[in-house]
Amino acid sequence: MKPASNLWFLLGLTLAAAIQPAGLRAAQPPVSFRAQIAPLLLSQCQTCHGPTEQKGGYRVDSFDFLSRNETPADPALTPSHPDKSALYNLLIAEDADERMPKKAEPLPKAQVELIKRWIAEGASYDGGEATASLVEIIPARLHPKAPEAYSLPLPVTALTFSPDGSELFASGLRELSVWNPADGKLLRRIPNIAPRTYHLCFSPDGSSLAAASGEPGEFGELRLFDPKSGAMLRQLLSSTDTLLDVKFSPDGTLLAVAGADHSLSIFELPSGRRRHKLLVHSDAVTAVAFSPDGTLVASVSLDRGAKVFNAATGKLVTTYRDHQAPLYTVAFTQDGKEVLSAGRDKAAHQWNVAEGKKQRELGGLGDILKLLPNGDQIYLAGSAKKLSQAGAADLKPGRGFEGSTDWIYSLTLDPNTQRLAAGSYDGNVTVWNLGDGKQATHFNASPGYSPASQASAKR
Amino acid sequence: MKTRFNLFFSLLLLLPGAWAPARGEQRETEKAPPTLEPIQIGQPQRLEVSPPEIQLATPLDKVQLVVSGFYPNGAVQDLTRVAEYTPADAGVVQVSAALVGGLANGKTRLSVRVAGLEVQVPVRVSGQDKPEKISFAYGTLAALSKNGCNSGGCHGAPSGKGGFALSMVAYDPESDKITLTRDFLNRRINLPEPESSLLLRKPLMQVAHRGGLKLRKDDDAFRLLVDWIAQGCQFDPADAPKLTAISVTPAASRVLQWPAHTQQLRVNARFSDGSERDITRLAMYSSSQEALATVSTHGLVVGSGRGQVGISVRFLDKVETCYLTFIRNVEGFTWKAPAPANYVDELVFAKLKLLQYLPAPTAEDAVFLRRAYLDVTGLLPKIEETRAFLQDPAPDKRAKLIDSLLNRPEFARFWAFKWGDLLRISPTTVKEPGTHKYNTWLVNAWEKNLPYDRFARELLTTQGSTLEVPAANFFRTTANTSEATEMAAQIFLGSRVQCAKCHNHPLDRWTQDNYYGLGAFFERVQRKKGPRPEEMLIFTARHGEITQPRTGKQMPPWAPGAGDMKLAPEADRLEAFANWLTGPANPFFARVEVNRLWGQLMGQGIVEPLDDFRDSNPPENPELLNALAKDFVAHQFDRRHILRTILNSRTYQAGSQPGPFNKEDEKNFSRARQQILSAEQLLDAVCQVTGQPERFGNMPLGTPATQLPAPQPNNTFLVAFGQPTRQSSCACERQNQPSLTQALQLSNSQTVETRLKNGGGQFIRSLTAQNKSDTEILEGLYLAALCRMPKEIELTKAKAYLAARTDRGAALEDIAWTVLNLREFVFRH
Repeated sequence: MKPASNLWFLLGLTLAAAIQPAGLRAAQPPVSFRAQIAPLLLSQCQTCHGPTEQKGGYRVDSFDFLSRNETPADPALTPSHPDKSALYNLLIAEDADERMPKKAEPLPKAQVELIKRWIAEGASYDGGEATASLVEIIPARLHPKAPEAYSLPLPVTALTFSPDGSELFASGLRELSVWNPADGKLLRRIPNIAPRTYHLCFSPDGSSLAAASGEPGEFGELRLFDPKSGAMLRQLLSSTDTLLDVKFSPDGTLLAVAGADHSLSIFELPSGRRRHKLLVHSDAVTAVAFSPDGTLVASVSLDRGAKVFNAATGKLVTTYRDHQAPLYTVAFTQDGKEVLSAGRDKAAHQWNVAEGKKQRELGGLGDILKLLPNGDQIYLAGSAKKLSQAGAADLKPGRGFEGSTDWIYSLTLDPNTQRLAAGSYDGNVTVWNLGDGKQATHFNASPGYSPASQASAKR
Repeated sequence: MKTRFNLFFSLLLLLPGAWAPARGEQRETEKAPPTLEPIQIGQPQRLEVSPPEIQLATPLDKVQLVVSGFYPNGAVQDLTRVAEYTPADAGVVQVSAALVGGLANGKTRLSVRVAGLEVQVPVRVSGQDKPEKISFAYGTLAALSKNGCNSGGCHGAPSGKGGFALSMVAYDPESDKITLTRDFLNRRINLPEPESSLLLRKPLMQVAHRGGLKLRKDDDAFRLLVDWIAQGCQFDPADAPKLTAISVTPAASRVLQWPAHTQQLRVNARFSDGSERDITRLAMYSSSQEALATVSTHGLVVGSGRGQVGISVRFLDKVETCYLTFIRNVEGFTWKAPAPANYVDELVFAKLKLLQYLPAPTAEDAVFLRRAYLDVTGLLPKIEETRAFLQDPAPDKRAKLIDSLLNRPEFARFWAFKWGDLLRISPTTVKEPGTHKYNTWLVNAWEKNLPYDRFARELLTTQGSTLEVPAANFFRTTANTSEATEMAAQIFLGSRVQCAKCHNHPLDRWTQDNYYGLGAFFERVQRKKGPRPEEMLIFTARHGEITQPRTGKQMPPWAPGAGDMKLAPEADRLEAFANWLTGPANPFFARVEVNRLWGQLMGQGIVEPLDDFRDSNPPENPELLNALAKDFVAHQFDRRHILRTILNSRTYQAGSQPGPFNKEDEKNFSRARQQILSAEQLLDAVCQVTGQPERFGNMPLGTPATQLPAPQPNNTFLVAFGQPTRQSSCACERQNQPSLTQALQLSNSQTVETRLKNGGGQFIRSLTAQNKSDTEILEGLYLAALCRMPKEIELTKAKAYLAARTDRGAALEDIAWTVLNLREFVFRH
């Protein structure tokens, strides 16, 4: 661009700002980029113009990218001039082949107007660092209320005992529900949670509860809560798809988070600084695990791969490739030298960290969605609708725990009360006593749901 | 090598019609949604309403009405769009756009009125007081199929899209159950709040969806999916009624005369408990020729041209086809046709007359002669043969020529060569000795005119050493059951069944079960190395069963139309297959072969591609195909008889020049097809005109390319013009798409150039021998290459060129070269 035109451009900006009638601004608060524009770009544009794909060489996942104007002849954004901004013009194009979003109805008028107004008001940015990705700058969401009574049970995808074993926290729809593991009575409900929660775990000191959650295909959140009051302590991460697993390091100084956006992140505590964002899987990362000494992190993914990283440096240590199906769960053995991984290929594999070589496997248990180590034992569960115990080192099959009624998605264990609990697709939670292997309680964890009401609705 | 490119352009001016390949001449133009002509109701004699009575059993049950008007002149037209529908009790049913839905339980009558005529349709409505329990198979999966979610390009692709993989058109419901509900931690379904399910939000574009907007809230599919989720994503009990058949209204093929050009379809599903259901809004529709007629998602067919179209209707694994012919009056059209020579002409002309296309006048003798020689023997006639034929005054000289050509050894070798493509004869598949023995077997079969049923039986049932009984090579070219099944189906049933190996065929009625059922016939074929070098022993074991890999079920032998076959455990299954194949109940065998014979003579099959018979790819002229097949069977599968019948028809002998009343016709055989000679024919023609044969490996010098036992992969000329390598039995392997290489091969290659100069001008010496005059030389050249005398203007220009050049030899070379580059030479027309 010639210097003269630069000057014109600057002049135009100043003039535009100067001549904007003050009264108009006063009548309506100015459009906020982070609160109003960023969520729109995220949900409508980022799939095709974001980190994974940049159709037409264009991306909108940060203000920096959005305002780069790679093609000066047709700038994406000309502050104060919606009609000279491709971002706006493409939304109102007459020709359906040209209009964005592609292959869809035009955006609702109100949304288009919002973008127009934001540009007309000078396209200002209120999100801090211009290179920060959109998901990171949008304000923490407030989630609508959970249903009073569930019309159908919600699968229990996350379940954890409280540190003293007296309470059982279960995933609900836009809430967490807290139950008495002894009798299956509902104790309380914690609102303002993302629609689905995929993992819950307590910090080693028991002071906070971490929840990996989100709305499928839309966003993910990692939040820490006060387990007693249910108040949100902080939001550590906002992402473009659900977060599927979260684990504290044994000393509580690190937090590993797995996401459906293919990412694996490691946070430092208490600072909350993201130490690593590892994009090394080619599909959703479904589970993470720390080694007993906290130096290694293992991850598994729907891409069928399992990996081990150095928690401090983020460097890849091993990749294990012998699985034939998407993976859902991972755990270290007691000595930290071997990893157990499993998923939909119907066998848990045990392999060594040093070489990524398979040592042994255990099959015959259907698809395995959860592995839960407990000392020298390990519990396995999934599509077989039952819980199985095996030696963590030799994978020697042990006893089975019957009573679940559908695919098991979540497992938790309390060392104090020696209870084991599993949550399943049909919304049920089954609690067993470890000592005698007998079922302690079995209840449906969807508040207000009654099978009778469902049966009558069906007829 | 002297380049003649400059010459090429100067000669373009000298001689009209130089050939240059062109690509993409017929570009498809984008079509706007069709506009509907207003219906001219006129005065029908009689109304017919389908269905004659209506039963609505659930609140979601909807019945499509189809109203047909029958006219005194025999015409029929779809009046669905203009009829008035009035229920006697408006509280029981409502009708919107000819779609009937229930409001309350009860009985009433629906009055359908148009043009002063009325039909009363009794209606019974029940089940309106409770929600319908959505069937997983026939509601949920049908909805996902209807909206294209599980199509091959989207989530039905082998690895799905965006991590979401369904089975293509729901061929594997067991896997779809898991994928939809339990997979990926129940990501896709929100049970307590069904409309928030990702499964719906994505195609509604409430969440960005790379596949775009695929679902609207007023689609039937939306309601079904929401209700299925709200009812808890239930699966069908094991004893739930199974879909047994679908049927389409109108059932008989229909002719619609412009301005009538639309037809509403109605689709009915029948279940194993005897119940029926209207599935018009859930069936999937596709047109065999979009240019001729399109079909909407709700089954409204809109015609825009003249001709026959097959509308294929699919509901899960069931496929039916509705045939419609669109005609319209063409201004200035008056029927005029040569006198039919036989039934071929009668049936072709009947179709042309209906569609108002004029058959081209019969081709001149010279054109017919060249065409018949090329088509029957693969070769050009010799100059003496051409002169003799052109001068023969006998009125039946064409019939005599046809008889004589069909009895020549070249005929048997050329048609054996064609079958060599199909049977994949090459040293790679059957080794060197096998190539010669197998080819010789084929030549003998054609020479003695082996009836086609015996021909097929010998190929399918011959067991023993490939060196001693060459027909045993049939199975030698296949490595396993799948390859044998696919080859047999492609050659003898005209079906491309490969798709069904992994999933139900997306365009055909072949299911995965069918594929393995057919495979059961070939599962016992054994291929063992013989004691001698390059010998293979083909025999069948007495045991061996095939398993459907998806269901794990052992499949009994199955054949289309015959179903599962009950055979003795140790019965010879190849014999059983051959019996069924050549038996009277097989609808494919005769039709596929007569279509192949037709296609090889006419350049285009009645079904095209020749080996792609399926309901969704209907024959252009079914009556003709049936008549040929019937004649074939009546003459004990005599292939020479069918060839003779076709060759003697006016249809075969028609001129190839388009006229004002047939220039738009590409499919109804109103004129002969102009098409480029096959690679082998073209090379033979160049060799013949120049008198310089090509040497092929250790074959005797003078062996024409059209009689070779195996392809010549090292011959650049043959490869450039599309010689197949015989790796597949598919007719599609032979490609002769025009290319620059082809133009270069003809204008500037050793193949042509050395022939013009060979042996110090041997060719030119032969032209000029005996002190021939310029006229005589030019006549000889034209007769050899084009089977005709040069025209006056061609003579004048060529003579002027010769006179202007000092080097007469070089000038003659130039002229010969130019003739070899004429479109008239390169094409059969």
